[in-house]
Amino acid sequence: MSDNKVPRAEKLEERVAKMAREVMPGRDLWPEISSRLEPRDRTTSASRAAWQPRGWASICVAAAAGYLFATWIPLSSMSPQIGQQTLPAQLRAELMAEIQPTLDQLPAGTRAVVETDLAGFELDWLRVEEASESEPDNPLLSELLMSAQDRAQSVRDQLVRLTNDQAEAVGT
Amino acid sequence: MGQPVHMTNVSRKAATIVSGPEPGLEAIDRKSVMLCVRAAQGGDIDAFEKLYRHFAGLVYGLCLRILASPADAEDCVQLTFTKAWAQLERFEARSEFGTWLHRIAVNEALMEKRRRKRRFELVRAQDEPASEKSGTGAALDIEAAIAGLPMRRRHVFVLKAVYGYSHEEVADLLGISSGTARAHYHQARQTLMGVLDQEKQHE
Repeated sequence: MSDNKVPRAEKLEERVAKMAREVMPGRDLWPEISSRLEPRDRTTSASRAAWQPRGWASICVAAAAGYLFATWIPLSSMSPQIGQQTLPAQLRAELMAEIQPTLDQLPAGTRAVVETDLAGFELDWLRVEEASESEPDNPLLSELLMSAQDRAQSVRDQLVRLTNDQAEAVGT
Repeated sequence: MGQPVHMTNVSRKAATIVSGPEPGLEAIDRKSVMLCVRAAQGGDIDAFEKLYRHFAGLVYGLCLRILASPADAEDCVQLTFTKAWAQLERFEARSEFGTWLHRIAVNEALMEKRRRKRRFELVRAQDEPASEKSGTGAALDIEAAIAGLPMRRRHVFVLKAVYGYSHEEVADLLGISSGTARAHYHQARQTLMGVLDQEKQHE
């Protein structure tokens, strides 16, 4: 096909297609660029990267511990050793006294569900403690803590729903 | 991606493209790019220099064609890589590093245009249609023809036709609607086809 017969659009596209996408500057710009770069502290980045899982784990531990203190119930019938290992008896007794009235008001089936969930949470908590003691830098620790926190959140939601239901029942 | 070229002295009327070796340009694959990015994110300037060596041509080519000025394009490249370094921690592997650099480069090029309004006369001259500026009878280089396009049409044409971005991506990069991008692209094509017709008549 002669050049005259090539459609205008195709000719333009041919010319554009031949254009190089990369064009090197006439001089090396790196010296000027490197002089402008703010040094990034490697240790800061590295320590930040290392801190994040630990920091997150600490937050999870704090959250889980807070929840545990707030929702502690006697689980002696299920696993007597758990309570003795994780909380001083006096504190556990105080928490029991605080929570027991609420638990007593729950229907038996509902209470069983809540206690089962809390027992599961207790087991997760124990695993976290074991992992922390045997392998302080265990990367699975954060996962376990997340699992524990998820369980705690689930139980908390159930308790909130139960409380609301009870309030409605009292109102009616 | 085609072979990089050196363009040391480009003007609207006579683009000088000299093919040649690419000093320092290192052919590294995507995985190596990501390794360099990771290292640079951790503060490794040597790794960042490798990224510069690899992507300088791609960034300079875009800046040059958008700004139509080698000096401005060099400034734009420096600003692009300086900003990229500062924002490197924000880069995520979901996008190509070259595309991420292009986005920064387009922003810097557009800001460069605003910063240099004192060059009003030059900009106005560039905004005149290329066909009106090419009546010298000389064969017109396609680079010079593109450089002679009105500014916005040039931006759209370069991103779409030369660098292969979609109309939507072009619109996103330039902060305009895709309909406007399509209109500018169509007008740019019409202008350039007219320039090529003129070129043929003079041959």
